[in-house]
Amino acid sequence: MDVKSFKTTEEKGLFLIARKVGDGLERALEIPVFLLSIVMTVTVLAGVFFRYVVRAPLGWSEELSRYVMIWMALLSVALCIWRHEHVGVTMFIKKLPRLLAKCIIFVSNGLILYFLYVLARYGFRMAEGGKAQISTALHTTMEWWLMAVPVSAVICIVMLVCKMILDIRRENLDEILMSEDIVDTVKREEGLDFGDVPLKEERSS
Amino acid sequence: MTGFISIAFLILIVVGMPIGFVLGSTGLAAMLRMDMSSILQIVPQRYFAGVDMFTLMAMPFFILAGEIMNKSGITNRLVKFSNVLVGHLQGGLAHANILASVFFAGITGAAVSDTAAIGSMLIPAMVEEGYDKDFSAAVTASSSIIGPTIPPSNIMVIYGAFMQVSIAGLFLAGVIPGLLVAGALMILTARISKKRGYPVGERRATMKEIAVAFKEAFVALLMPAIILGGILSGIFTPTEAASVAVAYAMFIGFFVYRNLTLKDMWPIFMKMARTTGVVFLVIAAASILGWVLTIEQIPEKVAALMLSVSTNKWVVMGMILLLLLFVGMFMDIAAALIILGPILHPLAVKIGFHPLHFGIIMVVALNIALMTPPVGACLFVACGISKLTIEQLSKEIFPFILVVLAVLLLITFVPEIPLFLPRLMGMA
Repeated sequence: MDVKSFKTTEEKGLFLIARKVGDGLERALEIPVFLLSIVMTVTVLAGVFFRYVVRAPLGWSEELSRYVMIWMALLSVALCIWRHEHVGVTMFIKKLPRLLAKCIIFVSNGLILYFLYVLARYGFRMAEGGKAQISTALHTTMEWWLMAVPVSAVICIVMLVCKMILDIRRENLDEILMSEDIVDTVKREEGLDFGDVPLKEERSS
Repeated sequence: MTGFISIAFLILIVVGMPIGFVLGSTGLAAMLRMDMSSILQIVPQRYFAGVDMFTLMAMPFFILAGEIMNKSGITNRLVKFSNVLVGHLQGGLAHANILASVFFAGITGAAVSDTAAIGSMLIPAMVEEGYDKDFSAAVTASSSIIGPTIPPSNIMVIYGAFMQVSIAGLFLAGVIPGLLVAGALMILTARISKKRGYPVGERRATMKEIAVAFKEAFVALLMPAIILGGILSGIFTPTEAASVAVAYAMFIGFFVYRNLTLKDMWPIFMKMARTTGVVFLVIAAASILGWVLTIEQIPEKVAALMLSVSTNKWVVMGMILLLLLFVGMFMDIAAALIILGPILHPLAVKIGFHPLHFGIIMVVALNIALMTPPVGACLFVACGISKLTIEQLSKEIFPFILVVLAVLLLITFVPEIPLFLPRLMGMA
C-alpha cells in the first residue's frame, strides 16, 4: 500500500516529476490540514467556554469553525486521491483482466477530471460572486470561504494527473484504483499487516 | 431520466470509481442532459452547501475523541473491567469480548476499530484458553457491530444531519437496540459455550477486584455520560458535545493515563482529516446528485414504484430491509446511507414510520453488512487477526448473523423498543 516504496529509483523524466510533484504537494497539504483541524477544534471549544463559563457568547465561533471544517475536509479530499484512499466498490473490477481494468480505470479517471474541471471553473465564478456577499457572523466576504471548492478541485486535478502518470507504469491494481475497499482502509488505518485475506484455504501439503 | 441516472450510476460504481465521484459525475451528466442554460453553476454551489453544516462537524470530533482514547490504551482497561464482570461464566472470555464491545461503543462508535482493538487482544487470549479459533473470531466480529448502534455514532450524525432528524433522538433510540444485540449475542454465546464445553472462569471476581477494575476504566466510561448527558440536558449541541469529548479524551490521555504524547497528535489528526475527507466528498457530491433527483422527483417515483407492489406498510418495509441488507453487502455504510437515505427516508415516513425509528432500522440493517461475506469489514479484520479464511469464518459466523437479523426484525416490528427512551425524554 505504501506509495513511496514503489520503485523510486528507476523513475526518470516525467514519472519522476509526477512523483515529486505529488509527494511534495501531499506534504505541503498536510500542514494546512493539520492546522485547520486544530483551529476547528479550538474554535468550537472556545465557543462552548465563552458561552457557559465566561457567559459572553462569541457569536462567530460556529460560523468560523464551519468554514474552517470545509477547507480542511476539501483539502483532505485531494490527499486521499494521491494516497488512493477513497471508498469505492472494487470487487468487480478486480476480477477483470489487468490490462482491461487499467483501461477502464483511465477512462473513469477522465470522467473524474471533467467533473473536477467543472467544479474548478464554475467554483472560481462562484467565489468571484461571493465578493459581494458578506457572511453573517464573521463579516468577511464569502469569497474566502467559497474559494475552498475551486482550490480543492484544482489541487485534486494536479494530484489525479500525477497519479495517472505514475499509473501508466504501475502493475498492481490496488495502486491504480483510486478507491479501495473498506477492508484495505482498515488494514492501513489500524496498522494491521495481515496481507491478503484469502477467500478459500490454499491447500498446502 | 430515472433510467439514465440509475444506469450511469451503476456502471460507474461497478468499475470501481470512488463513490463520491460517482455521485458527482452522475449528477453532472444528468445536468448536461437537462439542457438548461447556466445549470453548471449549480455544481460548485451544491458541493459547498452539501458540507456546510455545523452538525456534521460532530463526526470528525467523535473520530478524534475515539482515536485519542484508543491511543491512550483504554482497550486494555475496558477488557479487564468486562472480564471481572462476566469472566466467571461459562465462555467467560467470549462474554467479556461482547461486553467490552458495548463499552467501546460508548466511546468510539466505530465498528471496525472495535474489531481491531479488541480482537487483537482477545482472539489470541481466547484461543490460548481453549476456545475454537473460528468461534473467537466470530464473536469478535459480530459484537463489533454494536459500535455504531450505541451512541456516539458517526453514522447517526450523518443520518441526522442529512435527513434533518434530531441527532440526540437518534442517539437515545440506539441505546436499547444496541443492548439488545449484545444480549442476543450473549445468549447465543452461552448456548454454544455449553454445547462445546468452553472453559468456565475459575471463580467470581471479588467486589474489591471489581472496584479496582472499575476505577481503572471509570474515567473512560465517563465520556459517553458526558456526551449524552450534555446533549440531552440541552447544554450542548451534538457538535459541541463532541468537541468537549475531544478535550476530555486529551485530558485523560495526557494527565490521567499519561501515555499520550504530543507526537501522537499528528497521526491522529491526519487520520481524522483523511477519514473526514473521504466521507465529506461523498456528502458534497451527493448533494449535487440530490439536486437533480429533487428536480426530477425521483424519490417520489421510487416511492410510487415500491408502493405499486404493495401498499401494506410491512411489505414495503420488508422490501426496504432487503434492499439495505443487499446494498450493505457491497458498499461502505456511510456511502450507502448517504445514497439511500434521501430516497428511503421520505418513503418510510410516508408509510407511517417514525423518523427516529426508521433511522435506527437503517443503521442496524447496514451494520449487519459489516459481518457478512463477501466484503464485511469486521469479518475481514477478524479473519486477518485470527489467520482464518473468509470461507472458514463464514460458517461459524452464520448463527451470529441470524441472531442479529432477529434483533433487527424485532426492532422493526416493535417500534416501542427503539422509541422508548426518546419518548421518555420527550423527543419523539
